[in-house]
Amino acid sequence: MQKPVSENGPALAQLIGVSKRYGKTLALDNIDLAIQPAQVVALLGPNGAGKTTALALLSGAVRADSGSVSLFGGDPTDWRVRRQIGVMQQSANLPETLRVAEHVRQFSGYYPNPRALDETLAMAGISDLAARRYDALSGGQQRRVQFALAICGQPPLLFIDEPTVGLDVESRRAFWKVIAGLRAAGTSILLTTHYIEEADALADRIVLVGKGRVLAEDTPAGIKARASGKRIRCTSNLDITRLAQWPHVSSATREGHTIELRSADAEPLLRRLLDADPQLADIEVMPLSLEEALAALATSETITLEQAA
Amino acid sequence: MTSNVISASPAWMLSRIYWREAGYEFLRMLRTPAFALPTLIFPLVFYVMFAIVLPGRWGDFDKSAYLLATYGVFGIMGPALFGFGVGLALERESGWLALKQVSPMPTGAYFFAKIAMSLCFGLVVVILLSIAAVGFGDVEIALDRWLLLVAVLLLGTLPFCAIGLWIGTLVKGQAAVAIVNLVYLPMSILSGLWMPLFAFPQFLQKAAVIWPSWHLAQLSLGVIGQISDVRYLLHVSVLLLTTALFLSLAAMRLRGR
Amino acid sequence: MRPLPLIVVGCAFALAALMLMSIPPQPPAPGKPATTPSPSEFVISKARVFDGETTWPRADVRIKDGLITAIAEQLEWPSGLAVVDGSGKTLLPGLIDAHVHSWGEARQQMLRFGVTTALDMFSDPAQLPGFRRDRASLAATDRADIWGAGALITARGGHGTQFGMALETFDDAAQAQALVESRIAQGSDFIKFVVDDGHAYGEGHELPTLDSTRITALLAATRAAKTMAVAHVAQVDTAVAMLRAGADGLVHVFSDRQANQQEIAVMAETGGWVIPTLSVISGLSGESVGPALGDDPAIARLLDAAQRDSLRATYPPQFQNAKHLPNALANVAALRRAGVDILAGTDAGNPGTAHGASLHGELELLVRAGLSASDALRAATALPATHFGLADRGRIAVGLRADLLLVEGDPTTDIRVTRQIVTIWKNGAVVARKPAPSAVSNVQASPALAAIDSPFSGKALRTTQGQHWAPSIDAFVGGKSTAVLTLESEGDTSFMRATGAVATGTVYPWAGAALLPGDPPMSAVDASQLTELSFRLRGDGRELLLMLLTGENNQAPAMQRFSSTRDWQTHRFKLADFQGADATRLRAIAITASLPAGEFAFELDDFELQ
Repeated sequence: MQKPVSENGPALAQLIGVSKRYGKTLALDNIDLAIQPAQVVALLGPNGAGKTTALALLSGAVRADSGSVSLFGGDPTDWRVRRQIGVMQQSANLPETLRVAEHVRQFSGYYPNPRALDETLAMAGISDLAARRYDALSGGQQRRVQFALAICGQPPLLFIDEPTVGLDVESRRAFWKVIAGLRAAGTSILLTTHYIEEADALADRIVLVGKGRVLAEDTPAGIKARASGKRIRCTSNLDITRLAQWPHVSSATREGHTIELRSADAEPLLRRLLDADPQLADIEVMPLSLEEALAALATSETITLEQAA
Repeated sequence: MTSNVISASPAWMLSRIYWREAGYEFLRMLRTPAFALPTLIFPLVFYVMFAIVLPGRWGDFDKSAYLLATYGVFGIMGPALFGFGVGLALERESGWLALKQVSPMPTGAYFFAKIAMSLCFGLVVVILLSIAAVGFGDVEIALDRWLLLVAVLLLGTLPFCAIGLWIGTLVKGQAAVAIVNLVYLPMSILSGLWMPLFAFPQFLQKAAVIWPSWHLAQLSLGVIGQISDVRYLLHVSVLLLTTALFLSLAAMRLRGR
Repeated sequence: MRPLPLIVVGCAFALAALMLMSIPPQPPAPGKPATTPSPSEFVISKARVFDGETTWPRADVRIKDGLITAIAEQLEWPSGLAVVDGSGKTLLPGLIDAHVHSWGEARQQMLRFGVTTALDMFSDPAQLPGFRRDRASLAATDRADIWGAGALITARGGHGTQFGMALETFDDAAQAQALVESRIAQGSDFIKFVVDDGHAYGEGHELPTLDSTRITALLAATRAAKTMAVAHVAQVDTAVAMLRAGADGLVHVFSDRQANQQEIAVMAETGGWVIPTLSVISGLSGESVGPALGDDPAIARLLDAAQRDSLRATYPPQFQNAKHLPNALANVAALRRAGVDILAGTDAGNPGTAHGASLHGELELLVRAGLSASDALRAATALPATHFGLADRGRIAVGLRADLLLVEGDPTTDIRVTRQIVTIWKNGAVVARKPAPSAVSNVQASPALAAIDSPFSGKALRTTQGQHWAPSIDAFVGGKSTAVLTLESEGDTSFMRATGAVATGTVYPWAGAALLPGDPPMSAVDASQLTELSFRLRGDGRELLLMLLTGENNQAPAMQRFSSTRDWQTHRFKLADFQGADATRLRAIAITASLPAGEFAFELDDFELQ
């Protein structure tokens, strides 16, 4: 059992070699994951990748079939250990007849050192809704109340599952600001998202998961870098079907006069292009976007794994 | 961030969480007319109708006093079955329970809150019935007997909390409403809570023993002296075993997932 | 979680077992009083026990679910069982009154005085199915069990027909079998027949009665139907004849004279028994024991007003003769010496008696006649049970019904101790002995009534003093009789005419006219200063009743019969002749037609009460 220690200190929460099966589906397959202090980690991946399961294990909602789950050195199914976490789930309907302030007060009471009520409400952007009954709120407002419940206890670690689904751009940016503020104050946050933009904007580390496995784990820049490869754009009359069959080309597309090629190894491809078409012009060499990098990474990792098996 | 927080759980903080949980549970149920009104008003309305307004004598039975005991049982069953049965089912469906499960709320607080809420509502119903009985039904009952009746009825809420809990683990959401009603009303009638069993055919009179509400009614009637030869130990044992049985069944369902 | 399924299974089995155990043996009956619960199993310990035949100086008796389960000098029982301490007290079987007439509150009144069973010798046959049902039940109850004769069998116009009850009389010997079968079909537990020509009551008293042909046919029919036949007699000769003819017993002792030794011996040989009914004979003798009973504090506090009135009521003087009681006492003594079984019966319901209370008086009279106290107790317990086949009671023995009476002291040495009742059990449950509500009401003195006259000379149906005449019909007891009153005149006289129809459907149908002297109507007035009632009446030849409604609201009226004639005739009555009437509380005076059903008409004039 390893306890990875990073420059931030010992892990607050971690999964070591954890597997979890629901019926026939293997949701998590021998997965390792660690959250350090004062760090935002984004779990990124398509639906069904195991993100929510990982969160459920770490927050004590379910038990692992194998491997070890540790939360602040303890078992997350113990309610006393959970005093150090706040959780915002994907969907939760709170009792409709209680008011917003009552909900927050009730949850604050679970924690030994909760935030002041006004502060919590302000951070969640619902100060003016304090006296409103829960069933009198819009969907977005209700999500904010759920967020308020997660942060009201000032826990050192937050688990947030798909927080900005259904929010407009402005609300999303406002939320990102709050997350950034929490991180600056020293809170660790593990959030799951399928918005690459969000992971890119918020995360210190991105953990890419797919089919119950960790496919890659790095800073956003590192991911982009690791997904080694460049985009080459140029104007040319070359036949892209022939180009696609070239060894260094992973994909080739044409937009009018412009062709775009992706390649893991850009230099030899450039020489070959220049040789092939003396009229080659407007050459641009760009790194992959995060999306492309992840897609490339996912594909390549899958190929690697398949080959290994 | 250290783990010293884990060990720091002073008793006062814990009890505050429990009582606050109970308070919010009571508050939210009170604000839910679909729960509060039937629970508080139905037993009272039916009691006034059958025991006070409608004429008719049953031999030497003191109708108002007899029905006070049996409607008391009817009255405490409601909050327990609906509070636990429907409450749990709805909370499971809405995800509220899932959120509570990952919060630092002690598991006991949840059950304490629901039981306390059932007892509070039950007490209100019994007091309302007693006011009607003594004020309009010419029932005379000594204070110590009445207190004993209240104690028996409140303690008797527990088996129905257990039954409600089990129903809440069976289905989710609105289906639970139907199931609870299907259990609550027939059980009440067949236990002789609305009218005494001597009006029923012999077979049903003997079959009444399968209902926990019949056993609780026997205890209540015995405590206020409306019937004689009550086998207190037998009925209490049945109620205790019923509580244990349904709690175990519910635990099996809850642990299983 | 392994233990959980085990817990579930274990609980389920235990629950099933407990539920089976809790199946109620019988449902709680509506008749149960809402007072402190009576334990279903208990022991009466250390009492002297008279078991119906012999006395145990000390015994324990155990009762469970309404039956006696054990009796021994010393019993053992599990701790926790309720125990009644009988030290210094005597336990008796519930008393049996072998001759009563039961209606209204009688059964409850009986039980209040420790009479748990009674034999009814004539009352409304409609009650019989109810009697049968109730005495089969072991549920707690507030009233005594009854075996009944239903309607008696008597000659047309004979004793028994004077009470206004619809009665199929025995007119022809050929009817005998059908009559017996009809009584049995109605629910009669035994057949009572009347042989009394009135001579016992004095010269000039004549009553039609059964002749020997009919009696022989009747007794053959009862033998064939395997049912008992018991005889109302008043004279020695009749008594001897009936017992020799095969009657099972006599429900009165003969009191016209003292029987001689030979006659006693003949009666003893037949094996028949006698119910002396000394209680009413004392009244016929002019020395009714009723008032003394009413004054006994042990009895007085539980009498209701109707019972108090009844104890004070007397027979009309023309029926009284001082010879009756001495004759009866002597005859009882002689019968007992000859070995004839004497059964205790009061003929309660009649003037000078009160249900339940009078049996205690009867026991005292039996002792006065020469029976030992134990004999008297036997006469009210094991003997009637034996002779009438009351298999489940009358004794304290295992398996018999727990109808019990606990008294303070020893009644086998002083018979009057039977009145010192500590506890009464009926069907194993304690009987509440609270007095009937009217027992504690103060009866206010009614306003005195001045003389009334009603010549019907005015324009309204009113007396000169302003009191109203109103139609009187049986509607409020469910009857369908009708009556209309009109003011008529003929020449220079005017009078009241009453017309209408008497309809069948109730036991005592009536229709006619009533005068209500009180204000408001039906309230009581004190008419004790007035003595005579007279009027002129012309009618259709029917027999009419002159009724005085007095005393409590539900008290039966005192009445006299007279015949209407087609010409005007003056009728006079003395108020004192109305037996059972309380002149200090007069509520109404009524002239009515009763059975046979059909149309009636009469005219009334110059009614006077003075």
